[in-house]
Amino acid sequence: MGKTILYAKNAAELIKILNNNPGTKVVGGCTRIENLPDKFISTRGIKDLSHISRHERYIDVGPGATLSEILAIGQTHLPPIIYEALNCIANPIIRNTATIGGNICSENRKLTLFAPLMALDAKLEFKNQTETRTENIRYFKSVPEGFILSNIRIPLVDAELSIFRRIGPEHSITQQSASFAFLADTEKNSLLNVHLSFAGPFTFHSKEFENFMSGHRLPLTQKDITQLEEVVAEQFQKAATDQMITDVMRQQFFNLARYSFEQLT
Amino acid sequence: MKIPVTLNGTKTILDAHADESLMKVLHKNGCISVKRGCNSGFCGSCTILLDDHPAASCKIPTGIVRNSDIVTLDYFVKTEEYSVIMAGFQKAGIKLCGYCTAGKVFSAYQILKSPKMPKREEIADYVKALSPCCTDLETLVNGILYSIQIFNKKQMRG
Repeated sequence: MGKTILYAKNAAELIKILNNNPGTKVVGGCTRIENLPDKFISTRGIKDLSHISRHERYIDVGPGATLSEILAIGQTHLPPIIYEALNCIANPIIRNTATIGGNICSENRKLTLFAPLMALDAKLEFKNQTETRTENIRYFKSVPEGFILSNIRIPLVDAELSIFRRIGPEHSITQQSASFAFLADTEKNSLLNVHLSFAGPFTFHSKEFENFMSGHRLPLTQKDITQLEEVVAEQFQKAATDQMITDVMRQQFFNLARYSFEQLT
Repeated sequence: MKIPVTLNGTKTILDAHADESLMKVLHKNGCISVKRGCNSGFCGSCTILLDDHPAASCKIPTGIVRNSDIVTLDYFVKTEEYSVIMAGFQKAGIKLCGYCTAGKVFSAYQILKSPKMPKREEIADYVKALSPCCTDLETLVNGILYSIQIFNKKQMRG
């Protein structure tokens, strides 16, 4: 008890407050109330951080937009893996307060939306008083000091094969929680673009693997699948140390990767 | 700290720690319909309307609701929407135990407000995580569907 909350009317004021109050953390809907920092400021009620604007090829979403508000865009206007991932998060009552910014910036582990946003190549925009930076979510570790997350650009990718799975308990976040996403596009019986990502205790994506898989002729043969499994396992083992992941979660990842490849046979 | 809100239609100052759960603070302020259940935001017992959206008050730190509009079931029972929802529930044979009422009624309210007619599966998906203490899922979905019918009839007459 006795934690301090600060308030900002808009994004500019939020940046100013962060600069003048070192140690203050930005939070979203605070649905993880038990983990609040000692000094915090919420994006709730900051209109210029809660925008949602649809464009022809992407959607811009403010970090303060709630998961329900994003779902309200509708199934037909959202990439299928995002729609599916949003529906997997908690329940509608929690989604009314939980924000996309909170989901992305969660400390310690990556939450449900992270893997699908990585697969879609979403871009994060950060602002401070003088500068705006953009970073691919695949390389995101934490919000740079003195900056705020000001926008999430979600490309409207309509992949031919789109797979999302949540790992761990259905509605809550535990040590066993993670998410998996796979996107594939084909052209003239061969794989054109492939995106495979995993997020939980750590994040995994491998450009090397994706490049290796792209160009494979379809349908994939059993030999192709075995070879792809070996390559993805090798890349995954490089990224995941034993401290990061349990054997069960590792096996779940391999099963999901194999299942994804089998959809292309 | 002092946190100004509109509570059940009246401008009120809540005296609470910034990180104190809104559920506890509302209970202290006489809103006895706000109950403690799972304390994880799933069972629905602590549901309130926060700026007209159902929210789990056990998962909301009071500090972030400054200047918000909070409605608890204690006040919502006076609205026409409540009468419509209860009429639908009654038609489906639902007898609420009292502990879970807020979650079920406010979930029905959000579905009722939805601009498009939800499918049966969508309603089931929406309410499946709520506590099934006194009402099974199928019956609850029936109750919400009846509420929608009654609501639409009333609107057509209006």
